Amino acid sequence: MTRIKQPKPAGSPVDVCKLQEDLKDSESRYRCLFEGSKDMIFITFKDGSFQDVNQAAVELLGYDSKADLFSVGSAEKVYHNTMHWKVFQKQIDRDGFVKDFEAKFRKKDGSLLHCLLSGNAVWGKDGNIIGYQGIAKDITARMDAIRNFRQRHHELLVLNSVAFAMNKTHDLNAVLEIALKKALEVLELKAGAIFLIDHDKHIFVLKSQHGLPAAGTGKSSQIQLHDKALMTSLLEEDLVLIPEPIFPPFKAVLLSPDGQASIELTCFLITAKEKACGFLALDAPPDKDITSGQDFHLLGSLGNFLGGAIENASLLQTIARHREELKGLTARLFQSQELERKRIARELHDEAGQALTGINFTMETIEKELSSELIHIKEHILDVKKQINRTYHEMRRISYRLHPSILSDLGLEPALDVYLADISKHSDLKIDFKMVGFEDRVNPEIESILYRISQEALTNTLKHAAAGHFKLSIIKSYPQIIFLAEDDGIGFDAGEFRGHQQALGLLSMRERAAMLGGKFTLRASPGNGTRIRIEIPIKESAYD
Amino acid sequence: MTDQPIKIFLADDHTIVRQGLAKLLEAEPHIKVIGEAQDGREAVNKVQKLNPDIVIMDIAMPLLNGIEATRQIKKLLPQTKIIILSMHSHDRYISELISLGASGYLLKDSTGVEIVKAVSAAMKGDVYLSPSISRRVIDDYLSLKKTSTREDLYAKLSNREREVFQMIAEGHSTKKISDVLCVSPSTVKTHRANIMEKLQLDNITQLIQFAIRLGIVDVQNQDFDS
Ligand SMILES: Nc1ncnc2c1ncn2[C@@H]1O[C@H](COP(=O)(O)OP(=O)(O)OP(=O)(O)O)[C@@H](O)[C@H]1O
Ligand SMILES: [Mg+2]
Repeated sequence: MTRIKQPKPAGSPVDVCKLQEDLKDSESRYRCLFEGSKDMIFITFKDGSFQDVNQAAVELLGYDSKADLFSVGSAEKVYHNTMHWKVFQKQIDRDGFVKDFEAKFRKKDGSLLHCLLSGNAVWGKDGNIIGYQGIAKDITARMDAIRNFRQRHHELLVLNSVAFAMNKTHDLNAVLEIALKKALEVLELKAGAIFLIDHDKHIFVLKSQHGLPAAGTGKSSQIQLHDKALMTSLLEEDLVLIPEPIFPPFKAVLLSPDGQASIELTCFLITAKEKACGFLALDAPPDKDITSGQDFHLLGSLGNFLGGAIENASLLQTIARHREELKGLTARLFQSQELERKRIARELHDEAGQALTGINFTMETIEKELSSELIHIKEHILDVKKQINRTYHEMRRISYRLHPSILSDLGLEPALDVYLADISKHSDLKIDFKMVGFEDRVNPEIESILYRISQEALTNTLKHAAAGHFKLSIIKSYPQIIFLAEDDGIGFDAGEFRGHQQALGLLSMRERAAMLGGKFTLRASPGNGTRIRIEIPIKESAYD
Repeated sequence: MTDQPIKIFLADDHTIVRQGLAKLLEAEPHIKVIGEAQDGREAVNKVQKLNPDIVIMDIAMPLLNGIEATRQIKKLLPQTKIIILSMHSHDRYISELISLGASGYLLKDSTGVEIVKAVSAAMKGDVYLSPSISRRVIDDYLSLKKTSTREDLYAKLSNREREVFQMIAEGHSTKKISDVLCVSPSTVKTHRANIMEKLQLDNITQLIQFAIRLGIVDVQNQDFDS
């Protein structure tokens, strides 16, 4: 067996004997190593024809025997890419060796063996290279794992970007946009689209697309599934998805608006809760199979994932819509309540009140015209007048409580002044009130809302706070009015106030503030009093 | 009293009140009711034409309330006396109307005698108030109006100045303020100087203290008696 450098020819016969012994010994050790290796080892002549291979080489390349492999002729033939053999040769010719050279071999059955190859020259007696020796480590499994890992990584990357988009925005279109973009990126595709199923209108709606010149987003589109039965069941929503991890892909054609051109798309269903809600439609070139293997897996996961996103987005949309509706309703409720109160207050005050006033004057005239013999009737008249007076005052009180006319007649400041002075008279609470910076009256809606909020704040202080001092300030800053109500009472846990089912006071304050686009802040903690601050934007120019 | 009867105009949206009043007043020999109106706008128009000596006016009236009607009539015809006959007994109503130039303020539960008294007082150029209205309240209110506090000075600030005032009080730098408002730093400085002058403040510390006292700055633990 040849080695890197041939030992020098032997000297004396005794030595020769000993040397031959030694040589045999080392040869058998070498053979043992050669044959026992799990790595493929091959030795070729200069032209690449096999001189020797080990058993591992035969097995790894899937041949029956050494002879079987030798019949291939040359090492070059088992290389997947003959260039690699040439490079292997060239480098050894130049450097005497190669190390960790990645190469693929073609097995007998045609499949590939991915190897890490090292090799060196076989020297002839004359010091010339007479052949090559290579040792190849099978790294197919490792490469598979790496590819697998990369694929997984990509998949995660796609799903992650979709998840990220979902966190960042509740806008479904944005999520779909990103999902499509990422999927195309990872699959190295140029064009694709996402369609959602509009179950009410029984159409597929194009939500997002990339690279499809024929399609305009939003339009009910000209997409036709090859499978008409599937198309109908998708649109009619009667498709039962047997719990199957991934629904099989299907084909569709997208027609251009003029109906002339068409593109064939490979589609993957988007599902949520075992219901189809749309599909990913991808334009894959004929030589690229995305309906099997890792790509298929990725698209299936993406479909499931998007289903969740679509469902979330539509739930959020519903919630947001309901919240808006509720807000509108609350505002309308407050407004109509205020209007109704005002109307009743006015009716009581004006109609009934004035009638009593008129009657009173008439009674007085009668009294004056009464002759002196009828003096006993005078007493009755006086009685009636007293009753009229009592009724009149009671009615005014009710009317005022419903809606203080002073608020519309004179404005917020006089109205609150009168209201607070009245409370002050009947309680020990020290009340400070100021309105600063108002030259003119503000709009009546702001006036009446701030009046009601002040009332509610003071009522709470009286009812719950056991406070000594209540402070109310309304300041016209710019570009907002700042409303501040605070007391130095026992306070409460502001974090808990949401839990109160019956309590409407704080809620109504917040809702009323919201009607004006105001920011409501409640600051309260046990022992530290209660403070309500509301900032209401005003629509005036900066230079008035 | 002169020989000429006192010409009176009644403005009230309730026929029953006008009728009752007219009856009461017509019983007086030196008084003549020359016209009526049932809302503020009609009152202003007719009063200009009829030129009465005295208008007896309700506050709560449709189209134009008594407050606005009083304001307009006193502007057009300063000689015309106006006596308010209202259900509102709040001081604020009374002081508001007296400051608009009304010559009397009667509550609707007033007796005929009081109304006649108010008419005579108005003719003499006096102000007559229902006995249940405390005169002192009016005097207090009118005198209070004259003392001007720093809070009153604040009302003199323009919107832009208020905005700058709040931002300074919140601790923003001139640079930040000029960035937010899209004006030059020197403009901000000018605003600041004007604010200090208008509010009669000597330094920024005082400005911040004043803003806190007003409640403009949202501070965590505000001293309650500040
Ligand atoms: N100023 C305050 N001081 C102490 N506790 C307060 C104060 N304001 C509110 N609270 C607490 O917060 C709770 C909720 O207040 P809220 O005004 O919403 O309801 P309520 O006053 O109990 O009932 P409602 O206002 O509907 O008649 C109160 O029950 C009370 O415990
Ligand atoms: Mg309450």
